[in-house]
Amino acid sequence: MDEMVTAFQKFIAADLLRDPEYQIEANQSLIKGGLIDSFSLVQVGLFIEKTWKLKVPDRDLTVERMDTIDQMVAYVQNRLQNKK
Amino acid sequence: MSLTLTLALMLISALYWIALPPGHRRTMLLLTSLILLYALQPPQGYPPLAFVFPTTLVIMTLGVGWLAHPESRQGFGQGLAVTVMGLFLVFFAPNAQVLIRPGAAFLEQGMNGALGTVISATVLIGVSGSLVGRSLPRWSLIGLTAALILIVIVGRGALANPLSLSELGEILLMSLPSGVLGWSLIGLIILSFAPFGIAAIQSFNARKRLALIWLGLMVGFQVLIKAQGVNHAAAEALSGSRFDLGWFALSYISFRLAHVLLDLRDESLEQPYSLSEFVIFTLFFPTLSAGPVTRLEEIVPQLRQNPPYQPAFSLIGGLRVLAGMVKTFVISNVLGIAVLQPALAHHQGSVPALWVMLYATMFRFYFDFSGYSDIAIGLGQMYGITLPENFKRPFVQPNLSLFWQSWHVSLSTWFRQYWFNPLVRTLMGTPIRKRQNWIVFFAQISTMGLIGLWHQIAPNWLIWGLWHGVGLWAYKLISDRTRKWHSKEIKQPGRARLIRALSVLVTVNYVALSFAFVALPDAGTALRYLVALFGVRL
Repeated sequence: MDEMVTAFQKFIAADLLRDPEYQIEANQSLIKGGLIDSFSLVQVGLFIEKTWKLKVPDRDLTVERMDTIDQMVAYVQNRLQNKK
Repeated sequence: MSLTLTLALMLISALYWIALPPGHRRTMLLLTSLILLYALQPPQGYPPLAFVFPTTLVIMTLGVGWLAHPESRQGFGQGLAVTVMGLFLVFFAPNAQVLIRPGAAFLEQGMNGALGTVISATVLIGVSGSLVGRSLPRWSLIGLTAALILIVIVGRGALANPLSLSELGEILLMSLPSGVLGWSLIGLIILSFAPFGIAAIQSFNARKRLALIWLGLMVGFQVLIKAQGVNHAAAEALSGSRFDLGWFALSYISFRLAHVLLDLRDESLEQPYSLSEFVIFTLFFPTLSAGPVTRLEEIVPQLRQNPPYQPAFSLIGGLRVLAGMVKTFVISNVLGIAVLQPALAHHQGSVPALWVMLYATMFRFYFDFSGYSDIAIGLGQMYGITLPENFKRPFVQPNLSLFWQSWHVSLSTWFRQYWFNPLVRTLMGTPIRKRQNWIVFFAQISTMGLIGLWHQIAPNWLIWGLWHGVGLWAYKLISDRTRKWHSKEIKQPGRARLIRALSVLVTVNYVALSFAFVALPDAGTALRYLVALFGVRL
């Protein structure tokens, strides 16, 4: 799980915020907090698809479902479990 | 929804809990929703449309419900839903009277109305069924029988009042224009199959095909009804009189159905449902006039729980309805005194007075719309159903992106899920993925343009949407470039508060300016007014 959190932290800081040094908390509100926007959320979706080989439907890419790294990790874990 | 009707529905909710055994509550929700779907249709220049429009919505709902999830046919709820709806359509639909009213005119209008409904229903079901190799479902036969009964009733009227051949000829001649209108409606329905149908047949499996076909229909209906300028001209020419086409509840119902179909296309429709649950989800009466655009998984589990009565339902729901009434019928009306009006905008009023008019306009839109949302949510609560929030303190948001996550949330979420996200995803797979700013620009502009047009297909609403699209794009560019500075500055509490207050001020004013475009008749007047706000007279 920690690995997943780190993976998201690295991706968001480096690829979305273009600042690899940026510190993001796992429970930090990313979209409601104004750090990333709905465009970045689609990139998060593509990142999940590429990294964990999951299909992320467009309807799942919403603020309610993916506002924090914790939520993103929970989503991926849930989907991986269902896949099994 | 009027004040009287809202109060009546509040009173009925008491009966709903006291008089009805739990097993019959769903039937009551179903029936009330059906009655209101018909009763609230606006008067139509061509009376049979008052029957044809809601009936088509009912048929579409049943069609999508059945086709998207054929397993739903099994078990309790299906037979009940179909029987209740069939009986209702034939005997009780408030507007069906127009089809059975005796007299000479009824023959023309009644036949057209009944035929229009029967033909559109048959075409919808038959073509869809044949595409997936399914025979007509049982309920469609019931529907067709019901329609036949209607025709018999009409025919009986004709026998009681026999016409000579020349009279019949005259009536046929007179009925030609409205007949043409009826047939153009049907023609449009069939045409809307074509592009989607061809693409679908070539590349998709049966379920995906259906999803696309129904979606095509929905788009067809939206365009038909909302492109009012074109329709009015055609309808007036055909009927020879002034014509008002208004299709109550089409926007919200079709967006709900489209969500189900699009999830079906993505194979991500997980919520199982029975047909009666599906119909209640789609036609739930508090949500017909002002939303929200609900999702299947938000409503069906609640229907299934069928909770026992709790006083909190009436108390919290009732207070919410009252709050909504105060917003809609009191505050909004008071603001109406000061709102921007074309005549006032031309007056050379002082700059502060012009700003007051602008704010009054924006807040009137807000109180009116969020008031109706409160009434819907409160009424839902009174019947034990929690509806999603549609407005979440939009005027304290520090940027436009957050504003749109708190203003008409259910609609903007719908467009993000089913337009913005797939579009961005597609563009990210093309060579322009390296030019992300252009992708954001195109995606935001098109999304907001569509949201504007959703309100009304009119240039001023398109401009309103584009204004917001440009704002969202600009916000993205600015926030990308100021993020480092911003994250440093907000570490000092005093600075953080100041930056937030300024950001809220800029956001609210940017939003306020957009309402000039929809309150004033054309873009030229709006632009003259906008520069006048800054003391420049053109």
